[in-house]
Amino acid sequence: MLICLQMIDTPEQRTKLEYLYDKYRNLMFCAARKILNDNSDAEDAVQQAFVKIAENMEKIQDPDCPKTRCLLVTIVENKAIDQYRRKQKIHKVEYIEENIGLSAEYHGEDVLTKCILKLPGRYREIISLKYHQGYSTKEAAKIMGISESNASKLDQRAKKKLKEFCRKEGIL
Amino acid sequence: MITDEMLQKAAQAADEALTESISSMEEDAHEFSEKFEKKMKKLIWKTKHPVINQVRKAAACILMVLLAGGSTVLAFSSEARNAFMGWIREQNESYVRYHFTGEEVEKEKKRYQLGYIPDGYQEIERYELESENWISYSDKEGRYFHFLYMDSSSDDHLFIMQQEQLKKESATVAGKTADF
Repeated sequence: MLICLQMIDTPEQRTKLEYLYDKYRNLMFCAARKILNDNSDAEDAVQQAFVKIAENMEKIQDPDCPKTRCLLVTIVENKAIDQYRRKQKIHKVEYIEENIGLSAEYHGEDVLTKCILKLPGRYREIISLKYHQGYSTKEAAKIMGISESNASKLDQRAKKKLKEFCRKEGIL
Repeated sequence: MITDEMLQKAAQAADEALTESISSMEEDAHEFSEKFEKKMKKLIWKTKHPVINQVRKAAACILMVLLAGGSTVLAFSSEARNAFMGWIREQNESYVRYHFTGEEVEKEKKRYQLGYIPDGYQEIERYELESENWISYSDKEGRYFHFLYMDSSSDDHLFIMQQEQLKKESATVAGKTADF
């Protein structure tokens, strides 16, 4: 972790972390609390999320843009799911499909969006990082704390699941 | 078929819906625990001072290596141990204190008495305390003198003589010159 923190080496980037912390910590706490149902665990997830953000600070261009807000929520969701799994002692890959993660009400018309929101957290995270944030599989893997090959498998499974949902919805 | 472009738009919409949903849950600001604030302050400090942090880390590593290496050498080499202990003694050159353990041997208390008492004087009072002995002598005319001695293994007793009305005379004890 400390080695990664050494990567933040410009004053502008250093103050960016503080700015993000002040601005988004409550939002991130709410997201983590929704998954973990425990204040202390949620705080741990937020702290781990900020460590991850610090490691990937160069990827954040504008701290105020909605895309950054979404990225921070994705990262904290990822850390909260990790925390949840640690507590449940579930580490096996098959549990990835377990429906742990955030949920949202979507009132729009787009069926594909509805299908993405139905995906388990891990699948939604890789879709978000790759297709909304525009990261490569390698970059997404680094943010999620998994290997590149696992991220690639996760991406394939996420798309397969998404297709299933889309078929059910009748758009494929 | 789902194209990348479709996925990009839908992923963005899904992320925004999700973030909006969480934002609506944000009621009052959560009061974070002291432990959390401390961890975050530490993290921010580390990111703000990467060089200091790196130096501290390097210093800690060097110290650990030195301690581990030094302990190993001291554990296996008696020469090194002796040299190290010698160095410690040197550091305390002017102040080495030895402690002895075991039962204290009861010493027989020595008693002293004057070999000569001036004519007309006789013992009138005697105090024998743990380490202090006091014998007073007087004559018929009410003149008196005292013989005082202390039994002690240490040299830290302090004698204070009242200088007023004191007549100092030189004296010898067992052939040795006394202070007065």
